[in-house]
Amino acid sequence: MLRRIASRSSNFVYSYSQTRPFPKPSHLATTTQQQIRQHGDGPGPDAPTIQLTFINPDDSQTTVAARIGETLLQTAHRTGIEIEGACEGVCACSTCHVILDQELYDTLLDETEGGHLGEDEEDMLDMAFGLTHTSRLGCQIHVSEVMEGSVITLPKATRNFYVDGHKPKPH
Amino acid sequence: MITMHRILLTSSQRSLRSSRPKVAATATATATATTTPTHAASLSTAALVHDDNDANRFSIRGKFRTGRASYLDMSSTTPLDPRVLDKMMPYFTLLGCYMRARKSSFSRDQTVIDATLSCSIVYALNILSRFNIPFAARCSLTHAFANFHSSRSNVQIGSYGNPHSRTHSYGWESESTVEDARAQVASLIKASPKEIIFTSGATESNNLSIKGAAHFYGGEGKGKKHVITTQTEHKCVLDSCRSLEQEGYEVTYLPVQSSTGLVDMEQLENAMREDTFLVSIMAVNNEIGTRQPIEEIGALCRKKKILFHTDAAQMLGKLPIDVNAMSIDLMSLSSHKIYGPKGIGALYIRRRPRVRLEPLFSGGGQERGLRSGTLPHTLCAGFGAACELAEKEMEIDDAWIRYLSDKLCSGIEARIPMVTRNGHPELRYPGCVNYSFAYVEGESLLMALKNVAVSSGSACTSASLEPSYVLRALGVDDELAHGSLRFGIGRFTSEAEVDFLLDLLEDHVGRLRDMSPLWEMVQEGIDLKTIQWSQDAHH
Repeated sequence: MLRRIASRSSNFVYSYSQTRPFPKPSHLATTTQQQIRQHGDGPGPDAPTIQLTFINPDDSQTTVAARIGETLLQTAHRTGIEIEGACEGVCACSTCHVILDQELYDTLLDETEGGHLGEDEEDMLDMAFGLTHTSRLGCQIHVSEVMEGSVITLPKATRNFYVDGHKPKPH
Repeated sequence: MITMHRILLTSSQRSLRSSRPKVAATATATATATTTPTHAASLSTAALVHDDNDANRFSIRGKFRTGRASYLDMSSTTPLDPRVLDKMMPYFTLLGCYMRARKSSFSRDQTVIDATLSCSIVYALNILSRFNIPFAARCSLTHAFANFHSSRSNVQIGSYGNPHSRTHSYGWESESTVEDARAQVASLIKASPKEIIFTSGATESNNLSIKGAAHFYGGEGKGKKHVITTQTEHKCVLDSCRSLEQEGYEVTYLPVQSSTGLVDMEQLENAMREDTFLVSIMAVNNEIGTRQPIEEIGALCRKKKILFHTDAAQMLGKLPIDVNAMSIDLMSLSSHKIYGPKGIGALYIRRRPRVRLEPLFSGGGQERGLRSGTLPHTLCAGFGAACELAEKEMEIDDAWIRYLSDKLCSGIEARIPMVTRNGHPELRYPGCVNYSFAYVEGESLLMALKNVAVSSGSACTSASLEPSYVLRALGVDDELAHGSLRFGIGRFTSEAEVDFLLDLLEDHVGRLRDMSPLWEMVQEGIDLKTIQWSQDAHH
């Protein structure tokens, strides 16, 4: 009888998701900023563009044409800038971390609801390497006209940095 | 031999009591020495000389009880509450038998779970008896069995996985333990669990807050380089500030009000500058027990948009804390001050508005990137359990400790003349009592109080010969500071211990004062400050 019950118990797979119904505290129930979690390519090649300059980790500069409406991460991947974007733009990692200048950062901050970034983006930024006061996640910034001519600095490394010089390709 | 020894003891005690001089009766001291009963002297192996009689009179040899000293140093650390040990034990065990706790959400599976549980226990016991499992392992099974009805914990024995392992149930169980503990700590300070990160103790939390905030908000190009703290902070805060000074930051060490130790709000406001980014003021002082006006300081810092860090290691679980009502941005917490295990603490970091810190050490980015490293889920579970107990028992602990503290204070002040209490009379945590005994040498008093474990300053400075800097900041002069003792009363202190301490204090303070020529002079009415001590007196 012991053996039969033991074999029945082995059918109970430990279901992790079931055992953690953690209640969200009421004062943190809502995020003010809706996170961008889109898949897909963004606007097509005939969308209006603006000029953006990226300062790469090796201090070289690249000027690209960014389509209005796409995220900075999509711009970078399309134009070959070396940003990893491990989670493909769903605000689940910190590898698309970019550093803006103070003016642009303040302008973009003014456009958010509540005057501050969403909780999820802040959480991911907490883990970013080389965080600064004007850091953002590239997958959370939509390119718009106000960013014409801006300079975007890439940090020297990310959480997924490789000391052997390997550069992950965008997927 | 033994009976002779016993007679010797009692007679020396008798001679001591009878020969203690009353007030302003210095002549009688010498008189009593010569008229000491001769039978005591004949049993003693010492020669009949006046000096030796004095030595016998003031000797404390043989007056101590055997066994452990009574522990009255709760401010330095507290013993582990047995209920906390119960919660921690299962995670230290190796046995692979897996049991699942009864959870209300799975009520429909109750019967099957019970069957699985009982079979697992029977199965495990069967294995145990066959393989001659050592005693400790069998004990842990008993603990786990006693524990599996607990409503909170998810796992029992055999849960030794790394909480950061994502791929197997050992890791998930440990992670769940850590998250439960995090919620327990957060609920004690009315914060969200996301705002708590575990560290190795309050010292690490203090370092992380101060240096981390400095490196993020300060430094070249950012313009902020001023920190405000007080002179009575814990050594780790003062040392962190000093190391920031080495890096080019500026630190203001605010003085405190003399004899109470409270921070002056006006002085604090005047010290705040344009480039101030952090104010660090501890909530309850560990040496004198003074409770600072945290709500006011927090409100002031919020108004000036300055980060407010407080070291709440002595306040957690003893006095109520509400991080939102007190506008606290960063708070250091310690486990071993609230009957939890040593080696674990936490840092509360506000998320709204977001406070950023630079981590002290680099690694895999655990704990929001601020504190990399594998978490000791065993110790986290203990810390969480201690916080849960503290939340439940805060009121009764407070009532008991307040009662004992009042008894101790009124007893000391009634039975021993010329004592001063250091710290604020009302705004304090009653469990930390600090008294200065005038004209008594502190180290000798400590040595005489061998049957009671007390301290003469905080544990972190007890190795040096300097008197406590906290007492110096209160304006207590050096000699009085040397004659100060700190008593810590806690959840497990009994009334008998306090009575015993009072008896001992009265005895030994009296004895030491009898030996002191300064005391004699004071009794005669001489003002010591008017005396010109000779040049040779101080070498």
